[in-house]
Amino acid sequence: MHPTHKNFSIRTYLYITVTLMGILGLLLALATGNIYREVTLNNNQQIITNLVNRQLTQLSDSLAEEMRELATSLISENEFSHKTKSNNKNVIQDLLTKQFQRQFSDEGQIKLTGIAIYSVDFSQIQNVIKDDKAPERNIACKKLLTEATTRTGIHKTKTYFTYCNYKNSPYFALLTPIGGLRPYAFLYLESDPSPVFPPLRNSIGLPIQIMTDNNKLMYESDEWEESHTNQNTISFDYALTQETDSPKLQINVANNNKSLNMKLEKTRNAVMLIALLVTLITALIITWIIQKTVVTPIRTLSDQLKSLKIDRKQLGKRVSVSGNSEVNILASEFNSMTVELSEAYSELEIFAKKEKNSNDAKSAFLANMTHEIRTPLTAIIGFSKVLQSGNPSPEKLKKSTNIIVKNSEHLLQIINDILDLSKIEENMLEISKNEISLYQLLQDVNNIIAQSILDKKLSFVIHYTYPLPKFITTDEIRLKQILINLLANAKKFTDKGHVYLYASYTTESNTVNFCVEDTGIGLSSSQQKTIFNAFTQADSSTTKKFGGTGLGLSISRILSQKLGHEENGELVVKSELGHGSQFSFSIDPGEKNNLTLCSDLNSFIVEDELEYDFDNQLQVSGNILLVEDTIDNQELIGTILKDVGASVSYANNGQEALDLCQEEVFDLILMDMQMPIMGGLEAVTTLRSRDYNGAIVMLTANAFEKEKQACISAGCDNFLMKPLDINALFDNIEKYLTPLDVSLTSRSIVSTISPEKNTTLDDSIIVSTIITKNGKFKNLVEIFAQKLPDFIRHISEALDKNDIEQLTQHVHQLKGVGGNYGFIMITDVCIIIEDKIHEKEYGDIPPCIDELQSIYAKIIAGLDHPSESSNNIKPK
Amino acid sequence: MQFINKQILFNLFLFSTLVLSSSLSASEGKKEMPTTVSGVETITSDQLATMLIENDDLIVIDARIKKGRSKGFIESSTHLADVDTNCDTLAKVIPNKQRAVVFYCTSSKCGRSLNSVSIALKCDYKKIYWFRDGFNVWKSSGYPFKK
Repeated sequence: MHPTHKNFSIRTYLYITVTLMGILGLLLALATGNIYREVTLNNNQQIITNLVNRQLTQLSDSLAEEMRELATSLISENEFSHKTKSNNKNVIQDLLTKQFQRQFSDEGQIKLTGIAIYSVDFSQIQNVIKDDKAPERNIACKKLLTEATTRTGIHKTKTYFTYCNYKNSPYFALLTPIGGLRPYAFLYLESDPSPVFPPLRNSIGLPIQIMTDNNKLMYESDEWEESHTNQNTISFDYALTQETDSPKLQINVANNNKSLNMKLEKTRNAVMLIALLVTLITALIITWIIQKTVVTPIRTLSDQLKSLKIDRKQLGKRVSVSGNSEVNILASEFNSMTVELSEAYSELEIFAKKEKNSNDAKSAFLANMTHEIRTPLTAIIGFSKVLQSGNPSPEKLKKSTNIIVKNSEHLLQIINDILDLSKIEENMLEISKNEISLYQLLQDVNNIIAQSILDKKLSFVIHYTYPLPKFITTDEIRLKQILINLLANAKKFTDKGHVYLYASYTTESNTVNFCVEDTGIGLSSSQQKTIFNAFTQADSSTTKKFGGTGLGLSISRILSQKLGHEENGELVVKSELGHGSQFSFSIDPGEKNNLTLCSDLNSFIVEDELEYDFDNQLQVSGNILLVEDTIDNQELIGTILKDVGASVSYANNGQEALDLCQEEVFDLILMDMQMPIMGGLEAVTTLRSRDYNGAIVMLTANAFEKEKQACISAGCDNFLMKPLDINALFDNIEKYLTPLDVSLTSRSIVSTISPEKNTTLDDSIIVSTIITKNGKFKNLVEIFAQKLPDFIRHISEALDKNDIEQLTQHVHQLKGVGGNYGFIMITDVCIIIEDKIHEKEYGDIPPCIDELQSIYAKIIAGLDHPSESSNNIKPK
Repeated sequence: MQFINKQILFNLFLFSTLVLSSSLSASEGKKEMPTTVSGVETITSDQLATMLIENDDLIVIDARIKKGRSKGFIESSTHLADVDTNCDTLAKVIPNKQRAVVFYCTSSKCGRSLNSVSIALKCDYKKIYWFRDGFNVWKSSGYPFKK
């Protein structure tokens, strides 16, 4: 419950309810008790009234009976009968007086107040009236006499009686015939009813008072005075006869029943107490039940929620529930919710942890990358600035450009690695297998890496263990990538000793096995566990000391898995710290039955297809549109294109290309993919929609398959990867332009794209890099070497004649040819000479010519030392 | 006409019998006095009083035992309890069989008068009256009595 709310808790409501119920119960009990009391009292009054009425009627009846008995007995006496018949008034008077006195003096029920005898016609014969209350009265009950005179026939023989009033005091009167059924006179008797009342007190058991109509006391029981009060007196009238004008008695009864009242009070109190107790107990039971079934579970739930707020470990902790009440359903829902929440929470925690780990790794990687990219860039920018400023010496120039080139290559390698890694991460690394010569592949690897290993004064040997398959089906580029990476690592971490590459074939598992062995710094066992993880090298200090992206082994491992059989494609390491390492992996060479196994070198060697077509002097005629937004690239590619004889037009973006194409049709359009204003894809699509039929080749830096597909579907004839592979470029030029047959000398290619360093172990000799690649070019190099003095002489002569045109032409020729024959230093010097010509510092040229002479001497020396110039392949 | 009268009487008889039987069955065996007896005229207190006044030769027989009679009796009545009643005792009270004779007891529930009436019928008395209501009604009607 929110503390600011003014709502009460359920418990408070319950207490209020219980209290209200108690009060209600008390009031109900009070009302019930009072009603009960009233009803009982009324009932009691009614009972008393009925009782008194009945008693009075009985007494009245018994009075009438007694009076009649008296009359009958009087008449039956012989003396009476005799004397009444005598008609002697005095005699009768005496008789009556005697009778009256006798009866009156009796202390019985009858208190005779009058006696008389009437003649049949009711002319009074004689009477005796002795009445204290009305001594002067001499007339009997008029009502009775009137009634009697009106009777006829047999009715005259009947005895009649009634109550009459005299001055509002009732009295009983009776008239009976004398002489049986043949009456000759009537006897009249009167009596006071008062003496019949005393038994009433005993028969009803209550003090009683009887009054006449005019409040004249007729009877009062002994205890009346002290017991009657206004409150407890029951008063009612009693009619003495059935007639309407009947005399009436006023009856007062003192309902002084203390015990009854006490009983009633007790009963009322008991009823109230019981009602109160029942209400309270019921309320308490209800409270207890609600407390148990509602309040406590809700409290438990809310406590659980509170503890959740404090400690999230409480998530998933169940509250025990049983039964099917609403609260239990709530609790069970709470339980399932908390369980689900805890599961979701733990999933989230795992996810967050993963995310953090991956983020940490990425951050570390990025930090590393930044460092790695910045290092070569710093060198490139620094040495570029050196070149920009002043007049660098040839040595300085050479050193600077070498450093720039080396660093650029390193940078490219880093970017390629990152690209590969991103492909791997996106699961987009594609393996395209072709049948290739294993020998050729190893030669290529040798050509690429051998010189740099030899440069470190290490021995490098490729060991063949026969039999070996002549041709294998695998992804050449990826396999090379692995081997070069491993060899580069081996070179990097080895200062003295050797780097060996072993190749063998296992028939049982049908695998070609490679092992790169070095005598370098080695790896500790803990380092061996982590080196394959992306972004990590053996330790962070390694990075600082040796450089590298830390991606190579990780990528190599994945590639080897892709190239190998599923079960044995793993790249494994064996190493001892300080003694060197062995990295081994096995690949699937393709269907076992299709393999040609060679048992010696002769059968194993496959002649080079001469991909490196330095002597394939391509010359074409035709026009090419180069669509490229960077001026440097325009110049570079444009130069190459011009060199092969094509006429080149330039466009800075797709839109410019479209404009040019409206005026002219080109033999070939080289279209960069990413450009401002209009990109390559859009331009191609538009051109094709305009029915432009010329060949279009897309230049793209994106190596992804989907990019290639996009190029083709846009209408491109082909595509080339950036940075441009010059041979691939030539292939395309040859395909779409008209080739010409030209002589060797007219061909010059600026080898800026893939400069190669001439490698020797001895500074005194120079060996052509093309001989390093393939020994069969030795003769061609020798022919070139013989021509070289003529080149130098022509330059020297032109300089002497001050024929700048001639000079420029010769230097340019030598620049291209020298590089093509594997002597990059010749090209380097020619470039310097060209610069001097350009800057008209002709005086600086003779030292360059001397340098050329010196180079020539070293080349000749290199040719004379075949052992130095042969390749490093030493068949086992 | 005579036939029709007979028929009506017969019907009345049947009706009264039915009423009697139904009332008998309704009272579940409590013995109710029949209201009439064949060959006997049932009379009220007023009829009896009139007959007494008009006919001095009327014989009234009190069929109660002594204890009942001590509470009062109709003047001129002869005491002959039903238990003592037979043709001989009747013959002593009633001079001949043509004399009108009235039987009564305490009330319509006492049964003694009915017993005596039955005996009188058997003894072949011709003018039998049955004062079924008995002494109590007589007294409460206000008629004179003796004690």
